[in-house]
Amino acid sequence: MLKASDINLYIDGRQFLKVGNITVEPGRIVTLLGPSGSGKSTFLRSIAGLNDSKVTMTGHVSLEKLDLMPLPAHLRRVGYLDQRPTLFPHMSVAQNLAFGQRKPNPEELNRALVTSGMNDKRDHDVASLSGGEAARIALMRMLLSAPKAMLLDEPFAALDPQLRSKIRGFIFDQVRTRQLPVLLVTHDEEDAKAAGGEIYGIKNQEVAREA
Amino acid sequence: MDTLARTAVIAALLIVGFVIGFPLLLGLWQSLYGGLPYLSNVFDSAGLFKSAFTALMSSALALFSAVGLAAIFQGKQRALTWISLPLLAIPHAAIAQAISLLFGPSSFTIRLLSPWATGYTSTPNNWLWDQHPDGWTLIIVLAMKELPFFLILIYNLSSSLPLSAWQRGSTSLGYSRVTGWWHIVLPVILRRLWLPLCLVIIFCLSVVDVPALVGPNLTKTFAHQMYQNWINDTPQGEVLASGVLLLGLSIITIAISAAIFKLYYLYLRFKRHFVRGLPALILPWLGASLGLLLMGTALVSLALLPVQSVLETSGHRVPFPQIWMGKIGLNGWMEALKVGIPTLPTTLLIGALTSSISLLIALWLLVLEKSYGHQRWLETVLMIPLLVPQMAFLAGGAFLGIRLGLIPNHGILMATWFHLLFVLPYIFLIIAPTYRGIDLSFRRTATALGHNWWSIFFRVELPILFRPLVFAFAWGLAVSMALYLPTFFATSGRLETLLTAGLTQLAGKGDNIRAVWGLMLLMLPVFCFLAAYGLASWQASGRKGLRGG
Amino acid sequence: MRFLSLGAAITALSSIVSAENTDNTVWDRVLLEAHGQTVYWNAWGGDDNINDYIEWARVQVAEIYGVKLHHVKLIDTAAAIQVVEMEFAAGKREDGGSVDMIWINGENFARLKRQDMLGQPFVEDLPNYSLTDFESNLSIQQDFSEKTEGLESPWGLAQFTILFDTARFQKFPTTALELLSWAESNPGRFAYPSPPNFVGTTFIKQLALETMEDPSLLYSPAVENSAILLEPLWSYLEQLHPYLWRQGQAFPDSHINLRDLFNRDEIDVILTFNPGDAAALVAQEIMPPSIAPATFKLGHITNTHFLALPGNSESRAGAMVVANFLLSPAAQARKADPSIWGDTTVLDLSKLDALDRNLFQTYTTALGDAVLEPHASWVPVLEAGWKSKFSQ
Repeated sequence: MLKASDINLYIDGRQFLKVGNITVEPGRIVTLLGPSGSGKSTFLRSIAGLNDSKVTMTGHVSLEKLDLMPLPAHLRRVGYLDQRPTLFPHMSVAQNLAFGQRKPNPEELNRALVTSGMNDKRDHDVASLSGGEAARIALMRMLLSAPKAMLLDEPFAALDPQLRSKIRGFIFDQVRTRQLPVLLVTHDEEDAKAAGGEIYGIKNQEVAREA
Repeated sequence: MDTLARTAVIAALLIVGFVIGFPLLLGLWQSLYGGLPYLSNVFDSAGLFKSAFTALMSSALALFSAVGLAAIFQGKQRALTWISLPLLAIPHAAIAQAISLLFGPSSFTIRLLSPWATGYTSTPNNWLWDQHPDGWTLIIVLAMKELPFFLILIYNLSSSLPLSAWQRGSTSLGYSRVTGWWHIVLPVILRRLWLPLCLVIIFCLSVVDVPALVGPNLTKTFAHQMYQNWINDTPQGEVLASGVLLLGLSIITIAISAAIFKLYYLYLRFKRHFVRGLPALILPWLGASLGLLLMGTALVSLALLPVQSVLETSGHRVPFPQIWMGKIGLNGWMEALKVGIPTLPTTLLIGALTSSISLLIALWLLVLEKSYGHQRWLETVLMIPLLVPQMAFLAGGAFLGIRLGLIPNHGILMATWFHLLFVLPYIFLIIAPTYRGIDLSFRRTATALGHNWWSIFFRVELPILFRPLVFAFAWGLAVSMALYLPTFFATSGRLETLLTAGLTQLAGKGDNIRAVWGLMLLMLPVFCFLAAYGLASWQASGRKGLRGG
Repeated sequence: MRFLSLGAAITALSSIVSAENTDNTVWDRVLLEAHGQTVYWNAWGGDDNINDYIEWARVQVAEIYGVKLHHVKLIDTAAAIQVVEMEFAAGKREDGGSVDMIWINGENFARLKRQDMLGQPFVEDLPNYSLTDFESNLSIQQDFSEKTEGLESPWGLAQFTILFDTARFQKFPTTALELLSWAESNPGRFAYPSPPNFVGTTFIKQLALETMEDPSLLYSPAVENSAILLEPLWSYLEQLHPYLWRQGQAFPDSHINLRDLFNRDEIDVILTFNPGDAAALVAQEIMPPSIAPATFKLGHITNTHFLALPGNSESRAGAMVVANFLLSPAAQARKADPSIWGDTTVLDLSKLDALDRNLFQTYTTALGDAVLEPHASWVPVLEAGWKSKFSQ
């Protein structure tokens, strides 16, 4: 269970976002809806510890009762998906996937390749992948790192509508199967509906529950 | 990570301080301390004036030609960049050698043109062009290297400007393409070119190997004369004092250039009438023509080097205007290679050491920057060795080194140390934008996947940076190879690099030997760049995302 | 090559065996101490021939005596003087010196000697020194009028000469005035290297001897206002310069540059300090065979060049062994060979046995009438005067 309470976000000392309480149950997807520039991505990254020193956060964030705030970012076990699938250009498909593994595990790697339907492209240049294929690999890679929660920053933004629902469905399936708490940030209401969980909005620099 | 980070920061600062602070600050202090009493002894108004004149004229010429070329050939940026890059990589001395071979009174070209075009039946005695006493040859040669430098800078600066939008605006108001650029883009760019101009001026004031080849002979430029004094036994104090004077001269010259810039901007502010039509094209076309002339002459003289290298001219009297002994041979090659090849291991070793250490320091600083933010003052500190004339601190540093027993005993170590001062800033300037420009998502994604900064640096950032890194390495090698005074002072002239050996051993030898040496000097950095290109391509094979970096 | 090293080894051995017992043990001890030492020989490196000869010596000395010789190539000997002075100033007076041997003469020697930086006299300990005509040769006992007092070992003989192309000129000026009119008829064809290049300085010394009112003053130390006495020299040069190469607007940095200018047909003369140059340069095909030396009515400035050992050297024994080797008939003969270097020997041929004398048979050097070098203290005066008058 992912819990965030009494969060205040500051840039260069200026407060720009206030979040009261958000709780995400395992297997549920909580959506944060808001226009671009409202600070939702920054909030998401703060949970994962991925912002630079200009951004400071006060409050509490805990994952399965473990306080995340004092932990360095790479130890928080929180999966993160960016708006565009960030595949490393110097690694092949398989190497990108392997990069996500905490310990080398060839069988698990093969299974991931098969599940995502990319086994025949395992040694290919990632630049040759289509948008959908890249999204699948990015997702599989994150799952291979055995996260205890997932933070999704508009991961479907770069996809065309058809692929969008496909990949969305794929991700949400994985979420339910693995019973991970997921925080989704998007400006698309379709995504929020498909997520099926609580929806929060941003008004006047404050996050509040919507209907 | 915190204590580790803190140690890393302190270590980085110590290293930067040690590398730069020690030779630079202590050297300067020693120069001032040892030299001030002797200032009046060495005051040489003619030499000082000549230095200032050549520095200002060559940089003005180069800048004017560069903006002219940029204005006129707006569409041909790619082609001009292709020509400029090799010229940038070639050491000054190679071009100086090529020009002196081209312009000498008894040179290949004059003999070719005599007597039918020139009317000379014997070697002209009043011929001044290979070492013009007022410094014009020096000015031209320096400008030949500065022109591509400014041109590349202009292109870099322009890439962040909304050029097409401005172009549409000025065309719709009736200005031609060139005039529009001249009135609108030039003022914006020029402002950012002042600092590079200062770097160029300081370089011109400090350089010694170029005046040795093409500079005025009787009244030498100040730095050149100072170098001659050093090797010809002048009391220490006087040599140090000359360094101090040179420092003073650079401040004055920079001030003059700043004043000129200020005047230009004042003129712009109060300008009411914008010239249109043909008269507006005079200045750009003049600049472009000068630029074409400079570049063309440089390329022609370099292209002639291989030809001259095989015309047997040394060892036999070749009466004017006979072109050569009728013999084509490789004796010139044998002679020059005999002197040059033994220096290659040293040259490459020092270059490789300097480049590697510079890369390490630069990357270290950049990694720290990730956690601690952009530190402008650090960059400024790194640039200081390029902003102070070499003689001013190298002489003092050398004296200290001798007194401490470091010089001339640890040649390679001291030479590398002195070279670091000049190579580190260049490498930092090349690597920094690329490193800072690495997509943040790479770091974020990798962190979220559980990798610490060490793993990210080695497994993600370095491979992505491979191509710019090898190019920076090659560039560091090229800069190191072209350093004369630092090598000389660091080793009391005992250690020979390709450059120092060529200047001392091959002076006064036949044209063919000197042509080979010019070729060797230019081929070495070019070869390094080709190797870098090959290496980068090999690493990026099958990885489209890494090309075009 | 092997013959010469064998010969040198035999000479060295024979000098050990044949000399007196007492001298034996002294030199024996030196040889023993020298074995394994490293000697840094600071010598002018501007001439390939000389560098090659030194390279040969390096190999010999390593083979025969086990001494590791390094040739530190100097652009100007003064650089080595500076290093020694700096080391002494830093307190390294007995050891810790980085210069073990200097190829030296004239004002440089005087400077080190005056400051007591040359250690104890050593030449009498060199077995081969007795083969020179040290008893009668003034230029071995005195170096630019400064007494050598055993502090430097003679190495070769030098004489200032001007070489010209007989294919173009049947005869060449023998006096300063004749030179002036020659230059006027052949404008741009004469050049001399700018002082402080030692050949250039010697050229103006020769002219000083001819143009000064009382040339004998050049042999006493220069004093405060000695510079005034050089006025006739300066006015002569002022008349000469417009007819020089590049109309006196540029001067070659070194006499080595003159060779190339000659070959490019820019000038018609070569100035040199090596009377063997004419033969040597021809033998090595650097110059055409038609060059010949000019003769000066007044005589040619002649000097001996030497090897000195700084007092703070840590390889003094090794340096002494090298100096002695360079005085050996084998080494001197090779040096005198025009196809190698052509530098005249300092050995008195009458003191050598028949076998050794044969080595020199074919190396005859036509030496002109010799004139001694002026006092060392005049050199800075001449150089400074030239600089202030002509290079402002």
